[in-house]
Amino acid sequence: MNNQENQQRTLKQAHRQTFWNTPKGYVIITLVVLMIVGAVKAADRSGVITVIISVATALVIDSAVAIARRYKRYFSDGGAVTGLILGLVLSSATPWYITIIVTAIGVLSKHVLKIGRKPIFNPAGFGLLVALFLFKTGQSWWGDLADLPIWCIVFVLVAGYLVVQRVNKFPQVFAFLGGYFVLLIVAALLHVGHAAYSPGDALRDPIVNSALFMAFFMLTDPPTSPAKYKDQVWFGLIVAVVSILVYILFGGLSYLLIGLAVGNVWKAWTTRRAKGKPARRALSDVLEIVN
Amino acid sequence: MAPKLGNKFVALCTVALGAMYTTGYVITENHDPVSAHTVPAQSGQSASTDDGGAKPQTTTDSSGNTGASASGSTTKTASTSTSGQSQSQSTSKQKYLDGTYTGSGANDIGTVSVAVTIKSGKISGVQITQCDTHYPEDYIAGLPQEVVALQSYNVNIVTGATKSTEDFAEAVYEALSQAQNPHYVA
Repeated sequence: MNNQENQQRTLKQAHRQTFWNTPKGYVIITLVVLMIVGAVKAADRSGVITVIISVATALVIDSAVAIARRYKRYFSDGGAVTGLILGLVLSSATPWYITIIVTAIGVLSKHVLKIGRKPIFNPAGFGLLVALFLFKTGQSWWGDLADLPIWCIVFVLVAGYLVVQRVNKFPQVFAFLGGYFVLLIVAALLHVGHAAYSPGDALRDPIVNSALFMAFFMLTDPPTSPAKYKDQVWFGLIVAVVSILVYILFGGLSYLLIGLAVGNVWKAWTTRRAKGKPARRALSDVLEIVN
Repeated sequence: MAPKLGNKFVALCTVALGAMYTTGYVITENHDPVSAHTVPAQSGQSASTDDGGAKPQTTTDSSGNTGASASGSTTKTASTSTSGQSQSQSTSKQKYLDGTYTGSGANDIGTVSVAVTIKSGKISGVQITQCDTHYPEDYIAGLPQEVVALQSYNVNIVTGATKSTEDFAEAVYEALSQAQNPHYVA
């Protein structure tokens, strides 16, 4: 009996260790750490409640889908990641029901807008983008620690590098950030850009923090970003170009999310093409699902 | 899955990115509105917005505005436009001169501009005429009423919209600076 109990305990411990060693387990830990550090700022403390609501909503929806589809696992670590990201981006002043709706949109998008078993869009990015246009939901990106003293960016960088290392996405993160910085430098030199959203702003706190947060925790989502290094570089560059174009032309909050969404569609298109579909057919397949 | 990149390569790319970022930061420093920006003087002092503090909100009394003038800024467009009422009608008991005054507040999230209307020496209305911030105007939509109720730019910070509130308060402060009655006796 004792042997059996010991074996079971060892198995449980091994399972726990395995979970926290997975990319999603890693991301969950780092995002929780960022949430705790971000909550040091009193104004953002209520954001923890937003995180709890979004994580709970994501887990409930994913569990319901898992039960309906008779999956073996009901706990969705992906749902927890989506909820954490949404909660860390949404403003702490967001009403609870809006948080639930935004989370539901994001989580359901991965079950509906997909090719095969892989979702097209990053769930958190899609939820935030749709919510921005439908409800004009405010986003504070408080998880990027922009409200804290500037040196706190070290937490974001260390947490981000750990996650990017774990999911093996350095090429696309470097391509994105490199493209982002170079394009802003070019825009500054050419004196282009919206008067209220200068290229200089995008290189400074708090805007640059949100770009780093997006690059480390949303851009690197394995199902919605390419695995091959060459594709990763293209993916990062596409997201950077689209993001900066939107930023320069329109400003606002949506430029990173629009860039990410376009990158996600490009990834879905290339995946479709890799399966032997002609380019135009592959694109129309993806757009058909999106529409 | 592709083999992971070596640590040396990651370090090299990080250094390259750091160099790009620094270059961009330096290049944009001169024409960046934030670095040249100064918040309204409080009790005769001016302060930078860099610390992110809620400068206009920390003042205890709006009477501290007396005699203070808004500091120059590349992004500010403080101007006075009269609404047809004669400013000479004011007395020394009126803190502000009647009319409509405009002001702008800007920081790294964008710009908020307001038009403040003074009637019988009191703030009778505040209108947000421009909100080019990264956050929706809805966040600060309740602040104009607060200014009228408090008769001061010293509004409470809206949770989750600290910097937008600062922009708004700064814009109102600037407009009220224009409206100051030079003959006012407290």
